[in-house]
Amino acid sequence: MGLIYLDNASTSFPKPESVVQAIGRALKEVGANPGRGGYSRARAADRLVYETRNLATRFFNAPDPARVVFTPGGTYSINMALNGFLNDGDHLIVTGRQHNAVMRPLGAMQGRVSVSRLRWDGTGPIDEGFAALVTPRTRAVVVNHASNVDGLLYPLRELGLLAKRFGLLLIVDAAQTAGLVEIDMVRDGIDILCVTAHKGLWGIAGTGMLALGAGVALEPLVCGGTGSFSDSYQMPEAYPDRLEAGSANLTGIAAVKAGMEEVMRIGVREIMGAKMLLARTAYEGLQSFAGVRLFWPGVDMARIPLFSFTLDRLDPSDVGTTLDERYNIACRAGLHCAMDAHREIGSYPMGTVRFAPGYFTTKDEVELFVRAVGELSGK
Amino acid sequence: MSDCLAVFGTTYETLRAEDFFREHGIKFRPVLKPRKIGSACRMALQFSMDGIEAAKAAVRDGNLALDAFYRKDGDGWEKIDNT
Ligand SMILES: Cc1ncc(COP(=O)(O)O)c(C=O)c1O
Repeated sequence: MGLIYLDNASTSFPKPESVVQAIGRALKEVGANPGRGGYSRARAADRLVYETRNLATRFFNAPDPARVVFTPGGTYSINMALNGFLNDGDHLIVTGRQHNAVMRPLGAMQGRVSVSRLRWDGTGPIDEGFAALVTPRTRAVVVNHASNVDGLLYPLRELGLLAKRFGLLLIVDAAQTAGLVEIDMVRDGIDILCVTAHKGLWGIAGTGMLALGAGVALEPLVCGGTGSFSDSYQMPEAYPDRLEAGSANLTGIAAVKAGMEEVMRIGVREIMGAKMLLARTAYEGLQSFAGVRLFWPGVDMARIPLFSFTLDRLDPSDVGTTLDERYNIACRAGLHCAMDAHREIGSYPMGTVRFAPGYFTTKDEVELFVRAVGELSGK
Repeated sequence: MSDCLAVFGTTYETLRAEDFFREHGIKFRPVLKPRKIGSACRMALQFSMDGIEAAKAAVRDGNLALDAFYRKDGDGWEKIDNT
């Protein structure tokens, strides 16, 4: 039996063939550095970046294409966002189930920036208790759009309205949802959208995007050459150059362009539906085994197709290792870089094993996975 | 004769300008911006003075962040008033 890859929440695999081809073309047929030379190959590279930026703008209905920038990943996007506007003494509201991509930059600002938690378990309105958290120094709400541990999906529109009502920025970590849930920056009231390109968008690891609302300005986290205004030691004021220092990742950009095109061709609803069916099949299969604890938040529509589980008396790490060694099944076990989420769902400190199917996962693979877990649970 | 230049702030804006120039039927070629002209983007769009009104319309239409238009003046380049 070949590899059964169920770790698509870490990075999606396999990638569509069109993505692989696009990377090859970018290397063989373009190759030059965008934003630097004036010769025709360099201009072809410029155009590839330009088209990808425009595509991403449409994909997320970003209000200003110049403020859609390419980054080395979701983590960098979040660091750029948080470091780019926070000042000493500022206060933030963060929703639960955060990833360390948010909590560690905030940890690094400890003592300078204060943080309050907005608790929500997926049922009931999210605005309960929100007003009590707002202080005169509150600047923003940071939400992990969907948990990479149990799949809980946060209601962006409601949060966008709340943010607007209290004059706060809405910052969204869309690592798990870009390419899976329709995100519309204008409709949802998003001021800063942090995107990972290598999960649902089918790009390659080490790539991401950051999209800013109209008029939202950030101080650059990284400074360097931009190919423009080169006679100044200061970063240009103009976007996207202000936030894009250094050579762009052309192959990565080519990959996410092809990935987004593929997502648009198939449609996010179709992708969500297909993956949800797989997740539900696995969840229901595991439900029939005694000694399996499932972390699957309760309400329909407030979830993305991934979940966590543990087996009585077994360390999740051992379950992960056995699934790999005995069944050639790739599942990530542990804390998934998200201590917060595990604390909230009650699986800290042991963590869980995570089931994260992809669009290319088959029903047969899910059945083999269920059978394997059944054997491990003693059924 | 291609005696005019349009200079924009960034590569992104220059490419956007290419699209709008094309839409407005302006014949242009992207060139490396002469060093004598400020340092905004490294590229510029070169076109004929006949196209200047169309270029101004393209800038308005696309709400393009124009740095400036220039016109060849002997060995150098002279800024054109964009009104
Ligand atoms: C919720 C969440 N935020 C942020 C990240 C970080 O993204 P990246 O791997 O692109 O840096 C991930 C995944 O790794 C994630 O699941």
